[in-house]
Amino acid sequence: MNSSPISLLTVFVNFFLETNLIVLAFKTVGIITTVLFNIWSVVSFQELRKLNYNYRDEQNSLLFVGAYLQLLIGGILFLYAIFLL
Amino acid sequence: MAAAHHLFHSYCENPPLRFSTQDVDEDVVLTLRAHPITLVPWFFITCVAIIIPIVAGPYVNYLPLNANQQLFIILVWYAFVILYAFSNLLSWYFNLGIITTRKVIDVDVINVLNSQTTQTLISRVEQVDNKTLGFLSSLFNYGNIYVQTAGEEPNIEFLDVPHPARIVQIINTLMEKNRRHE
Repeated sequence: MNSSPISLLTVFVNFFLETNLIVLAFKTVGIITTVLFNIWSVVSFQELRKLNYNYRDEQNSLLFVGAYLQLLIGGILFLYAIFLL
Repeated sequence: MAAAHHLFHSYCENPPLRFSTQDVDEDVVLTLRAHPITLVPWFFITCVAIIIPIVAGPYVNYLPLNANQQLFIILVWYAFVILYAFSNLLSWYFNLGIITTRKVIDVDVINVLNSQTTQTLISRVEQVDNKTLGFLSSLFNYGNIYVQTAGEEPNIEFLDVPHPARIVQIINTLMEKNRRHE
């Protein structure tokens, strides 16, 4: 019997597939992960605004591009986790 | 005086920066950040993390996941890579040393949620030292600056900043001007 780590993992995953739990587990983990990601994105965006207020510089707007990108990615992933997983 | 930016804005003379506790008659002489060479470790980790899904892609097919789930794992991975890189960039950008005509300010941002600001008046500065940190430090001309203050005022450190000798010279000049005004 082949007992490589990948086939053991497959057996383990198949158990959950047969009991139809893996889809639910995957979706739950996906949603929790994206929610955590979004919370961090929003908090870091607020902190960036505070820091930007305290230390205003010419090129700070570039940092906001990064912060908005992070929020956008978080939103897309959250919707993906809910509707497409 | 015209602004001079060097090394990805890690050393700026007369920058257009304004900060919230700035006095009306106070000008920013210098802003300092860590030398860009100190960003190499997290930049390297980010590059490796970007490559990992490309290398590991064929092995993901062994897992009994559908295409949507595989794509989701890869997207989440890249989202966290962006988060890691962006957090490090913010920490570097706001780990700021500000030297004005009246004050020396050290802003320490450990991560986006933890920051600390220390400041002292130029008139309270007693001594300024610089320390180089070995081979890379000598090669790229960066080091630590230690600003010692009188009495119970906190001492200030600027770590891994470029042109340390020049910074010491600028602070000494400001101290000299300050003494003459007194």
